[in-house]
Amino acid sequence: MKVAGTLATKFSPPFDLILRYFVASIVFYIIFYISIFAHYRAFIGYPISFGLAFLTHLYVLGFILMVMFGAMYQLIPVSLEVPIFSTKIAYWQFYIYLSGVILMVCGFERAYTYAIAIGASFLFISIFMFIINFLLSAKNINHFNIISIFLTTAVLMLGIGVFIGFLIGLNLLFGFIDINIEHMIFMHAGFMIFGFILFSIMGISMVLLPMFSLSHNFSNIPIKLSYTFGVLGLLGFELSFFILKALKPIFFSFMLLSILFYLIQVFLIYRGKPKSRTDTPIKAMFLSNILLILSVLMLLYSYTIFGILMFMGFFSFLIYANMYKIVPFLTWFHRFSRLVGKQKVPMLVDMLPKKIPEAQLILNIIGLSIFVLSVFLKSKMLYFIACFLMLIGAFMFAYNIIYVLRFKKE
Amino acid sequence: MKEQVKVPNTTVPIYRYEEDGVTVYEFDTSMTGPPEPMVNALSVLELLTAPNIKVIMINHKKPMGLFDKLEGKYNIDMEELPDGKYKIIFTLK
Repeated sequence: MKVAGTLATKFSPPFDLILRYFVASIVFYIIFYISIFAHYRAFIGYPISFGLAFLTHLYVLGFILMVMFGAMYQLIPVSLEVPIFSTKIAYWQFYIYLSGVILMVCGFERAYTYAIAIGASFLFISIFMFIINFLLSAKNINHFNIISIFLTTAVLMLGIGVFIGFLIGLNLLFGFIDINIEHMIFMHAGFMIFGFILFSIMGISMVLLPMFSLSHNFSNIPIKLSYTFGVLGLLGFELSFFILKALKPIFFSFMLLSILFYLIQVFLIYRGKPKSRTDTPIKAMFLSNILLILSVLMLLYSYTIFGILMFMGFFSFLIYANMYKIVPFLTWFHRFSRLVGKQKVPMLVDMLPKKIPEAQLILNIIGLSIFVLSVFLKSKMLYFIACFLMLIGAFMFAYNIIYVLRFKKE
Repeated sequence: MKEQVKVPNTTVPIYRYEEDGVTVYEFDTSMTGPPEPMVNALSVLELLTAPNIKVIMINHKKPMGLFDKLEGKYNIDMEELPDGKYKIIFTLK
């Protein structure tokens, strides 16, 4: 299949736009690992609580979605071969989104429903700005391929997921709809986690995995099957909260099949890469999928451990790996591309600190393993050890990114 | 006969040979990731100074970022090879 060969084209948005999203995400990431020390009980109690909602939203909205918006703005022009409809909207979206995240997580932390509702409104507005910006950009696509279909579907799912989240937020304050809150939260999480985050990862992986690993000549049939089962499974699963309840296990199996076909696609890409082509971020990109498998298996045992392995595991390791490739490239492109052909310029490998990215990934995987064990064994001591290791990992990650951003040619 | 030549700022071997009275500079960046294909191409394209010279680049993908940077300075012919790689031929406009 046709794959993109670069991260930046003439349609690329300004570097400082992407940087805003990336830097804010790292700040929230560190705040998360500081806050987590005080929320031991959130992980051993019932999985729906203000404490866990605070941590989940801080991590998902502040770290994961913030990174994803920045990455999407960079990758829309690359993978869809169209310019962003409006970078002005993208800047405004950032500030409104940032305000929304701060209000919402503070609201959950203090159990202050007004702040949650106002934060939800800000988030709703800012995410709809993103959706409109995306759709107006996508209307110029000449030829829809599996990547653009994945990303467009993911953005539509985001719209539905955010709308349900907005209703939950307002309902906490006004109680105007008589709804089963647990069902609404499951629907919200389904559209956001599977519909938006996983679909985006599947689409973006089809751009970034072959680009960084230099894999080519692989079939893309598994990713097409993944898409078909994913859409049918998710929509059927969400509808089964109201109708066709008996079919819920079948729709859920479709979602699992979607993940399975995605993993097969990742394997085909891995098999198609040159053997010599491997470095720490590329290894992490492929190996992070093991955490996806483990998290899905954990659904049989505990939603909390599923969430830990999915969010703090799979999503995070994928983000680390991609950030270690994307940020050096964007910095290089911004700072050195105009010097190419005129003088010697650094290569991407020169721009990352030596050994520290690898050490960060190892520290985080040890921290994550101890964290899961602490929840499993309900051990407060292990919990604090894990949090401490992952906090150090968070600072190392931030250091690596700052190192790249401040990199100047010797 | 192909001979390896030294071209400043390149990271892959660059070969030179004669073909039908044309001097060809050829290099393969298909085993390098971004931005190396662009770095090598722009460095070798500095040698493309006359109509009887052409530059051949083998890459694993279409180097779209490179094309944007060239701003239409060269004639570019591209063909997909049986192994899925791309052969890009640059000549002077």
